[in-house]
Amino acid sequence: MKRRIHAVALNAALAGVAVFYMFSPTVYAYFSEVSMVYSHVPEWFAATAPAHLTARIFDRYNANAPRAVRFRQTLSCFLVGPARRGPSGCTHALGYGETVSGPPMLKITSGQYVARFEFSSSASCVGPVRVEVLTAGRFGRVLAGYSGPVPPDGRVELPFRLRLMAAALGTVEFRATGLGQCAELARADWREASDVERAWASPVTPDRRAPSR
Amino acid sequence: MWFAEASVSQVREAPRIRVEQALLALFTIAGTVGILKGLPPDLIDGSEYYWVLSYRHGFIKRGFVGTLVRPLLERWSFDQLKPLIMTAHIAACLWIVYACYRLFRWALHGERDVEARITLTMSFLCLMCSQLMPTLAHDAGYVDVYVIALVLGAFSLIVKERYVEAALLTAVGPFVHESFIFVWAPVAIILLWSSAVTKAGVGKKLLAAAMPAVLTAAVIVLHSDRAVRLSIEAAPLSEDTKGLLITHIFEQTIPSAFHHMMVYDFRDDLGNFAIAAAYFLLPAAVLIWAAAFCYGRAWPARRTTFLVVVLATLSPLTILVLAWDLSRFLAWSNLAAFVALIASGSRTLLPPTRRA
Repeated sequence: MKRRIHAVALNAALAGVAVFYMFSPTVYAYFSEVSMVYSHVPEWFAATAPAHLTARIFDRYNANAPRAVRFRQTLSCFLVGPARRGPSGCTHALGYGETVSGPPMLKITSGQYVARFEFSSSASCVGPVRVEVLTAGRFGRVLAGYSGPVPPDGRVELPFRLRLMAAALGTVEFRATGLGQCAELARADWREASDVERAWASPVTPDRRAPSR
Repeated sequence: MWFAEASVSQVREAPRIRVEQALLALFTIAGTVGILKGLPPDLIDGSEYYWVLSYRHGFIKRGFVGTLVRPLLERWSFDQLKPLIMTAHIAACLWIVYACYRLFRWALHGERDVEARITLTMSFLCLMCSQLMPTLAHDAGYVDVYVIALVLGAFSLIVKERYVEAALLTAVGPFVHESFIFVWAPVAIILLWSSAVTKAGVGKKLLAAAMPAVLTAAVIVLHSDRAVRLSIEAAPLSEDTKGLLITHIFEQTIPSAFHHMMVYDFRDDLGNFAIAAAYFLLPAAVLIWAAAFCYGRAWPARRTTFLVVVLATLSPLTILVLAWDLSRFLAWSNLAAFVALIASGSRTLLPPTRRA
């Protein structure tokens, strides 16, 4: 009888562990960074409890990822696209329809952030622009966006909220597109939103699907 | 009378065994789902060198696979070869699922206790659902799947007491990748313990246990820096990749890798290591529990054997003092726990005690 109870407990544990890992994503971890993928299984796997639990377990894992720190310090240097680069390699002259985006495979923790795009305010090059923050990959979504003229101070700030599953399954990407004859992206970065910004942030707005490139 | 009892018993056993075997076959689907979950659309960045570096300019470590495919690369470009590499990768993943299935089926055949048989069946499901298959599938282009396929092939020979053939098969592993020795470690530990306990076939068991270690040492000693530089220069790789290959892989020594891991990875990210280890090793822990439940009563020197099983399960993780691909190596412990589970129930490796 004792052995039978032992068997029931053990087999329940085996079944529980099996179900949990069956629906959890593929976790690919280094010491400082982790990424998760569902390559060729139905999308609803990502809506299951094991997926959420796995994402929560690893949520703070990327908090001190060296790559993210490097990207944050010089984000515009890691943006790539057809636009002409300045001498430093970190400024981008955006002609009509030209887009720069990046950085590659950026993983950050879930939370509320503010992305900042700085455009040079030279009178000859101040066309309207579209800037976006999005998650790339199979579950990619646009997190925040702005289209219009560059403000007088040349600075566009985009608050965005990176949800748990978006942070787990996607990589964050910043994108700038020229909508006029010329706009020069001089700098870009992101920071965590302040408490005031969090309080003012609009309540949940439905994310849009990221347009395919 | 005895015959009558035996035949009744066989009639009762037969359907039950068929159900468990049918379940085992069904659970291979979980392994296939795991493969699908991790399989990337293309080869992983940084995996190309396994296929383009060969022994053409002299003996180098990790040059075996490249030497095998070199005749193909003389006809086709590397990009044209990619679909073939991807197909071979998928085939190897599926073979690993099949090999695990065969080993569990073998274990089921030798087991008459109903609870143990159910537990073995569920253990197979647990292994197939663990991060082992997704992680292996994810690393398309890496040679891990071939290393593990070799280990499972040799282990299948070990449980059939074909130690010399197993030793010959393991001889290939270190030439594919030196990490073979870490994946083989659980089998070697069980073989050493088996030699100590049974005192039977000691020479053959030691040969099978030690062959990869001896050959790994030979690969490291015989590796030519000059040959690898020439091979990298001639390879169809970007200049950036060539530089990274030399500095990050081939110029690395055991002391420098160890120093890097201790100074950067373990010191700075110990918390992350703990999180990942807890997450990845859970199935291994449950498989050890299953081993103790199914075979623990029959183990010789029960407590020591339990420690040997735990040690065998954790043994592949010793690679983490030299290399930083954390999840890739943590997943190996699930495989090691499975090897320890099957081996600890083998009547030839660890004969049951009389009391059991």
